[in-house]
Amino acid sequence: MFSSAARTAASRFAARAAVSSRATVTAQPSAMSLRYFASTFLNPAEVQERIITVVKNFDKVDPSKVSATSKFADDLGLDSLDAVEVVMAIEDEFAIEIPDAEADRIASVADAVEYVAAHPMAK
Amino acid sequence: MSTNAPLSLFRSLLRQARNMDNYNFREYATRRVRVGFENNRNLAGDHLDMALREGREQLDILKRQVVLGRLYPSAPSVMESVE
Repeated sequence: MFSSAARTAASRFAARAAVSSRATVTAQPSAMSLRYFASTFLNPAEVQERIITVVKNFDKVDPSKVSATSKFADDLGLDSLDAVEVVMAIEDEFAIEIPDAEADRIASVADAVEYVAAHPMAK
Repeated sequence: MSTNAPLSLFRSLLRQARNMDNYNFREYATRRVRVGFENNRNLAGDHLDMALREGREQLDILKRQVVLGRLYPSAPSVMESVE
């Protein structure tokens, strides 16, 4: 008696689960594509915060000097080799690869934020 | 363009170094690239051209070593689990 009741309850539950999972499956594609589209570009404020953290973690940088407007050479005292390394650290952080021509133009935190925020593959 | 050639080589070397599978080789290559460029910071003219040519040869060697390193993978270093 008890076991048969349990079985019917279980099967009813299973049926409902199947219905609801089917419902989510049909609902998913549009939700997924919406979310995918929205996350293509990162939020510039978040990009800026992460880039500042990366730059602060660079050995040769005095963390107290880093701000959203710091220039690598003038404000942070980095030479051209250091600047290349900083840009590569930023590439690692956002899982992107910046081509040479673009990388040469990134000379400040603001430049880097602008580039990464406009990069569709940045994570 | 001439001022950018060393930086471009530096970037390519670091990119290849980063691809090394083995922790010790990867760290050594990264350090060695940096030191090489520090030591040759003030080169000009023929000396610069010679150093760049040598650097490009090293880049080819590094590329080959990256492939070879992948063929014979080693266990991860304890240093890699620290991060």
